[in-house]
Amino acid sequence: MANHAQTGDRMQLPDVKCRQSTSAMRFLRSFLTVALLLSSFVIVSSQPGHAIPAFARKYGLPCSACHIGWPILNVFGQQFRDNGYQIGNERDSPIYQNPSYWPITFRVTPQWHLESQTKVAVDPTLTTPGGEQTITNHGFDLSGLDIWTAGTLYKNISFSVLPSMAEGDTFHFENAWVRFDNLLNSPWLNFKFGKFELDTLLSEKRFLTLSNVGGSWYNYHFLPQGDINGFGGIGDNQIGIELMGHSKNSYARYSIAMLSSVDGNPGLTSAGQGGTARTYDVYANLNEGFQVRGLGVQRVGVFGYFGRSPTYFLTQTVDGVTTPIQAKGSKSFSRVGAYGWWFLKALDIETLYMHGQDSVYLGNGVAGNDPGALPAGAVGPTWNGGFVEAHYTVNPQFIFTGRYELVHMSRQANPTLAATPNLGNVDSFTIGYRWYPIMFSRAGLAFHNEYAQAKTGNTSILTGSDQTIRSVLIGFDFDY
Amino acid sequence: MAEAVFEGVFACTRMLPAIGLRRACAICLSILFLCGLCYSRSRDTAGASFSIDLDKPFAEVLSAVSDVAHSGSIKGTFEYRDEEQLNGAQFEEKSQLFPAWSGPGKVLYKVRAKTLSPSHFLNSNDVGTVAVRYVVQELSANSTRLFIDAVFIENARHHGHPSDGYVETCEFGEIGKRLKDRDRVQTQVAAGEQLSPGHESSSRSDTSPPENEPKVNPATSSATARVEVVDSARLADLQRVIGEQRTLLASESAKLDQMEAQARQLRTSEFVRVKADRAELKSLPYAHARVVEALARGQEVTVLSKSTYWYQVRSEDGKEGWISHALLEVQP
Repeated sequence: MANHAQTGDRMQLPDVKCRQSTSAMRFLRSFLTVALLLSSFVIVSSQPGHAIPAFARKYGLPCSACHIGWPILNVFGQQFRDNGYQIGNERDSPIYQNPSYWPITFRVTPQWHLESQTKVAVDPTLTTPGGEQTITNHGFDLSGLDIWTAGTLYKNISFSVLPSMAEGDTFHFENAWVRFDNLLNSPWLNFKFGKFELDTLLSEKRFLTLSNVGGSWYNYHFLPQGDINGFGGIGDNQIGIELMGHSKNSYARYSIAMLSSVDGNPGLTSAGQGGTARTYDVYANLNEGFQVRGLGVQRVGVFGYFGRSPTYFLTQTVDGVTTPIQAKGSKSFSRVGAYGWWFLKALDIETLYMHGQDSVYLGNGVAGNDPGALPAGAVGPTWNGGFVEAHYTVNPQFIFTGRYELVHMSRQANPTLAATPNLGNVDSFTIGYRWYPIMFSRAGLAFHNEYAQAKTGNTSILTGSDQTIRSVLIGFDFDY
Repeated sequence: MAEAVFEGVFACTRMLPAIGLRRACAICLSILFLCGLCYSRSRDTAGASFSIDLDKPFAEVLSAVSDVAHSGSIKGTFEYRDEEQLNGAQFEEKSQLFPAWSGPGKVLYKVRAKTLSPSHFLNSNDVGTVAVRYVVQELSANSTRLFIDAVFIENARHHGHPSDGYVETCEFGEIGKRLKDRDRVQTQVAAGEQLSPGHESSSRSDTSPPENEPKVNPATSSATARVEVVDSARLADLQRVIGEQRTLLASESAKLDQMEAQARQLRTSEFVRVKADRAELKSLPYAHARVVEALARGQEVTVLSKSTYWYQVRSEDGKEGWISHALLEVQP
């Protein structure tokens, strides 16, 4: 709404309009200069990639065998992953493996980044009044550390363990699973057990953006304002069991998973979220690839997540400390969507549409045993979202990326919220590139540059106006 | 340059509210898309053809190229680090991986499908097909032009990756070897003719005419007829000798290849024998792999390769498989 008012102002003030158009020209000039410089940089500095990063060194293959550009998988990479980290020829045999080979990778990203947010409510100080202002912080930093090991325990038994730690945090298991592959000698039967990434071709774990704003897909984590759903989104790894199958070339794939309603948090006997839930969620994904003459494999798919989330907890108080001991009043929610991954030779474009819906109790933050607390006219919130993300692979060592993403509420949870229909809406874009100057047999290194921006509708606390958050990230993403 | 990048990024940031988020995004994606299209087009046509003019007759060069095209391997590229070439290549008379050849000359192809990101192809990625094209053109009676091109095409993206030139160079190396072999044989044949008494006289009579030509009385028709008979007889004789020598060469080349293979094997072979009462020869180095055959104590086997715990061996009756090293002992 604030933007509309600004647009109106511009229409009425010719001198401002003139200044704006000059600014726009300056912007375009700057952008083109940057684009030109980057293009020159690419052409001058890029070299053919014959690197052998972490996992592929087991087989003595270049990283480009499995990756369009690390970490995005190409068709063979997807096939290799679906097949339980096995190529399917004699090279899987231990005879071909270097006895000193140990399938472990460390990944961390030292970086300089800038984070900015407009219309942040700040308290008054001795010299400044309180109110809303733009807060910008920048400095050198570290990402979290991933220690990933994966491979095969035996023929057709694969595994993955990924302890991860954010800076200043404790370790947690990002994933830990064992998978029984090719049951009955069929690629259509594979069982995975443990904590794992939900099966999707458009993977947040293998995409190219890392910044605070651009480092996740909003659609995969979105919750309406005031919603108490404990589900962190289909971008979060979940804990449960998955039945998955695929054709030999992994063009046709399906998966169905039964998951504990704990948003991937283990610890059934502990007091945390993982120790209180008693319900199960279901996630299903179906996708198909097909060849288009002259362009390559195109992929389309549909997915759905149907789950339940608690609205209150039975608690226990001992020595004045209250602990939730059982989740109660679980209410339903769903996420359904469709996606496509379109290849035009060196350019590939990912597209996604998603529809989300939460129970009226979750959307209004009301306990399931207290229906009287629901406001008049309360409904389950719904929203729609999607993104278009393009990658241009100059070569396996240099990739440009750009994304536009939005999530818009289609129905707010109650009439009060509906008075500001844009509340919580997200409009975001991200641009960046990754340059892999060296890829040795033991390590990969990417020089990562990214700019991301998102506008959230009417979320500022004091004035209820739109907020804009921005990230600039310059870093070295490496794994060893 | 970094400063310029920063300046550009921050200028973009400041101007975004003015230009509009969606418009800015559209501009970014459009530029990305156009850059992509232009660059991919230029990359698709990259790569230079290997060409060389040889002072050899067309038929001779074509024969050598054909041999190499049928060799079953592509030199100068590999999939796995411990390999030196791509095996399993097949000769083909046509290939969709190259544009149709409209120029003069004979065209041959060698193709290897299901190849994983082969080396020495620019930006090689994913799984696809490697193809080598040979074009042999006759320039004159003793001059032939040869073109060699190699390309890797991804199955998924239909994206072409031209060779960096190494593949073509190595393939030509193979052709060169064959041409040299032929030269050597021809030299030997010629030398053999000079040493052979029978051939010596005919050779002399053959070489003498140019010297003696002025001495021959052209009016003497019987003498001319005799010379023609001698020439045709010698020609037939020479053709027979060349045929015999070619057969001999092919036979010796095959023997040489076989001996080289045996030598390679012997260099890496080790003879061991079974020390357990019964040892199972497995199809794969796993305890539960299929049993190929059971071997008795004392039976000798040839070691083909080794892992930490398993030996790949060939039994006396020629069957190959894997045996746990604990069941074997080195022959005294």
